[in-house]
Amino acid sequence: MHIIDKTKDLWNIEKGNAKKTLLKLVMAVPFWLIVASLALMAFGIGRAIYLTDKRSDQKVAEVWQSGSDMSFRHMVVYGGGIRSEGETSPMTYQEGGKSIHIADIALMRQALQNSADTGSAASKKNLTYTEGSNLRGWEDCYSSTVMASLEATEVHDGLEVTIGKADAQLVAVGGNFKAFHPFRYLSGGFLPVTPVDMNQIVINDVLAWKFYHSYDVIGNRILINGEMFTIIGVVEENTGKIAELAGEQENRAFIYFGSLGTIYGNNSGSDDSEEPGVSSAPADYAIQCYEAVLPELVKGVGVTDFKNALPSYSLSNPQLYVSNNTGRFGVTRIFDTVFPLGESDRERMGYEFPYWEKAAQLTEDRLFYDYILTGFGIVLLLIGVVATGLKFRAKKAADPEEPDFSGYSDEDEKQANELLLKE
Amino acid sequence: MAKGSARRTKVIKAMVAFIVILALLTFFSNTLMNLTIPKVMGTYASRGNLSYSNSARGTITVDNQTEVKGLEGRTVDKVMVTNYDLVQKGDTIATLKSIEESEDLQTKKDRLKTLEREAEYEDRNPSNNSDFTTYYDAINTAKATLSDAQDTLYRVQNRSSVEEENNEIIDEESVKEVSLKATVDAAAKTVEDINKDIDAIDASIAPLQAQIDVYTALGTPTPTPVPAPGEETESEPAPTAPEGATPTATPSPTPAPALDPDGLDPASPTYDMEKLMLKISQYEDQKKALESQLEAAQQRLDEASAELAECQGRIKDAQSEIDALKSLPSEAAAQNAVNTAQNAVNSAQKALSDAQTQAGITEDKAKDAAEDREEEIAKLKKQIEELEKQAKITAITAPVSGYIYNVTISSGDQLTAKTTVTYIIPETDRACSVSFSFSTQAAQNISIGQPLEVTSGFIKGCTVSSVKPDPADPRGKRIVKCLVESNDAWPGEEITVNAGKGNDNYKCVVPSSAVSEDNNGNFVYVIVGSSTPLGDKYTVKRVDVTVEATDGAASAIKGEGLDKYDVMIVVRAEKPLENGQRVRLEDYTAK
Repeated sequence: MHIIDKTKDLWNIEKGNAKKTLLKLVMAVPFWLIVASLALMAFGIGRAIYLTDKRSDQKVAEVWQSGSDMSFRHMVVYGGGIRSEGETSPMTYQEGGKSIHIADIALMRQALQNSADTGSAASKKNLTYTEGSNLRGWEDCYSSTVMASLEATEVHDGLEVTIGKADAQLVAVGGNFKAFHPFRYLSGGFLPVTPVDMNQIVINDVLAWKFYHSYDVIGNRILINGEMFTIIGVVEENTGKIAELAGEQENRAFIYFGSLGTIYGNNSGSDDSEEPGVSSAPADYAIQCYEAVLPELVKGVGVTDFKNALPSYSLSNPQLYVSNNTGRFGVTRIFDTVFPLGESDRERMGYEFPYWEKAAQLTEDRLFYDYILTGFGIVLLLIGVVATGLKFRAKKAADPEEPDFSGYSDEDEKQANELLLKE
Repeated sequence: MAKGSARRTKVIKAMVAFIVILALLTFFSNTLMNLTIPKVMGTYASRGNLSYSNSARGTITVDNQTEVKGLEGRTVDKVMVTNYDLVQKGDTIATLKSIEESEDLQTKKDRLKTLEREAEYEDRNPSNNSDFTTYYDAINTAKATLSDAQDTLYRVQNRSSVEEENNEIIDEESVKEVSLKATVDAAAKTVEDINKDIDAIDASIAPLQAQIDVYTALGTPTPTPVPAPGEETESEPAPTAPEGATPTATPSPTPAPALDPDGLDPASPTYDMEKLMLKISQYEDQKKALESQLEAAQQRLDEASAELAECQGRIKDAQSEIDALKSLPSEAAAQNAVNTAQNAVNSAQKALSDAQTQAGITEDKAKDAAEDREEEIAKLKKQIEELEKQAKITAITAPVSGYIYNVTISSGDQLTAKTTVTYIIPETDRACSVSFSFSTQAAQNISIGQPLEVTSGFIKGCTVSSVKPDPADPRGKRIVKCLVESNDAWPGEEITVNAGKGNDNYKCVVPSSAVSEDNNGNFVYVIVGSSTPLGDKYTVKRVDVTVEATDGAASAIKGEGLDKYDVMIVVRAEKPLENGQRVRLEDYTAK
């Protein structure tokens, strides 16, 4: 009982002291500065980590180089094109170097392979990954988007019936798309690089739930423009404000790029088009986005190699929008993107970006504010620390003989201790 | 006492703080764990049946595309086309800068000028035929020295015989000399005597001549020369009477005067004078006889004198030879001199040979350099001519109609004859082909002429044109070449073909989402569990795998340790994982 009483007394005294101490702290400006700075930094850093973690498709190079002593760089190029009937028409090739043609892929691959081989030979490092018997050491994919009307079918009593209809964004992909977009799978997998069946489709969780109220939908079939596709996987989309703004939460399905010809025909409207500048070549669907992860034996050389590989790119007249995704969320890169103000917006004007790039750009915008907040917090912290130091110095100067109570420097605490001892 | 109480207070405060922190951590432990440990979902690898298709990817090549080459030494001014432009034959692909701006041509001209100057200077150079006179002189001198040395050696070696021989000569010639001296003296005496006799006759003639001169001065007629006694006087023969003529009477002869024994007419007024003259004539005859003897004697004297001189010369020579023998070196020294002289000859001959070789090399070098220069000059002239011819060309035009593909040039590029400017793909009737790599097993069902199913919307179809072993793996792979039926095909476009479907049982079938890929190839993460006092702990272990087959949704994989029944493989993770990373399980079965 004696101990309990003593503890209670101590607690009461401590409570009184704490009140006084708190009051003093509250009244002290340095304290608030430090609190505010810590809050700002916590918010800024926390949100930056949260936002960047969400964008795993921007960390492809890091994932790709795991376990390797060689650096990789993730480069992307976005091209333009013509949609003859708006967003429901696939993007077709536009003459003048503003588009990327499907046949350009071969030229770019050849140039990138040459760069990789040259770099490998120069550095005497082996690019160990091989595709079949061909040494590659790098990877790429390409894609193009189009809006389409999808009909979901299901077999009921032996009959395949339509159970739902929805407009969705079709992402027509080629190459190793899966390596560049690390999806979280709710079932199945993604379209194999070497197609098993061109009429395979992967849908996102939004569409799967909309059609089937389930994610276990592998084997079900979806009809697009009269062409039947088999679902082989369901991927989970990102959630959150940015994902919503970027359109990630929309209905979406992934098909092979080659299937565009099956769905929309070889004469994709461009033959009928009288628009100037539209190529008369049939079936020349444009690549909206081409991505590559390249070995970088010398820092920065991947960017140059990639730009050199683009058939119609020149520094003075790029015509295509090139993005260096590796490290794009770093502080300096973010500030470099934002400043000079409006420059990035001008560069991006006229391009139709896929949802993942829109999300990345929105992330950049938010990260800029987060970094500003963090920076402001650091400044406040420094000011708070300096002010606290000055305060202690002034106090020491006023009472140099004050004994050291090992943390109980406050006058009230000293009095409390004396009282406790008397009791 | 006060100090101990303060310490107790501190301990109590620390305990309170610890309990508070512990409570907070306990309360938020799940949240903290969620923040640090990614959640994964795993599934057990299972045996299963997988339907697959014998698919292969290949890249289209256009076999009848036209390659447009550049022009040597020209610079691109402006490129007039972009990829996939449709051009007609003769359309301009790129304009070129004028040749004056071409540095290449100027460089070539400068080079040509330099070479021509060099050739001219070379021609004007004096003939550099090598003069070996010095070497030949040196050889001759050395040979002469050798000959002398050999002669000296010979003489040294034959010193006694030479001396003996010369002594014999001296002896023989000395005897001869005495005899010849006597002969000379006798001949000289005879000559002297005859000369004395002649002088005496001359002395006898002189008074007789003086008397005649007196008679002449006195006006005595000069007599006709009296023939010498016994000398017949020639007289005119008497004319003979013609035959049949009557001989006429001959006048009677004058009576002959009385002559002296000398046949002179003492009655003649010139008798004395004639007498004197006869006497002189007789002296003259005697003198002539003496002079004839003198000549013979003088000849004998001369001959004897000459023989004597020769004899004395031989004696002298022999003596000189004997004297010379005394000054000869020893045989060893003479032999050394011969050897030295022989070496000198050899050296001189070698020097000549070396000089001739060096001169030959120098000459060959100069010849080669001249030939090279001539070749380069000819080449440069041809190139300059070509460039100047090309200078008139101001643009590269399309040789055929079709689509532009792979424009490799841009403004300012320097072209060469080997530069590929672009390719032109035929607008129609493209001859396209694709090569696919199939496994030998899959290729067994493929035959030439067989159409393959193309899983691309752009291509109508493709037909197998050849099946050959893959040089990279002749046993395991086959290269199947197909002809593509499409006018829409572009080079570099990838197409996939199916050569039938298959159905096999596999030991390890997982959802395709379990298979990840990085620069080292395909891999899966296996969940490794372990029990700890704080509960079960899970980590992931990377296992490299080979994808045997896939139908898209599921994949049959092969990897180390995956054939066990209790292997759980990650099929879904919140974040990218790393080997050895701790994870927490969301569920034990895939949805």
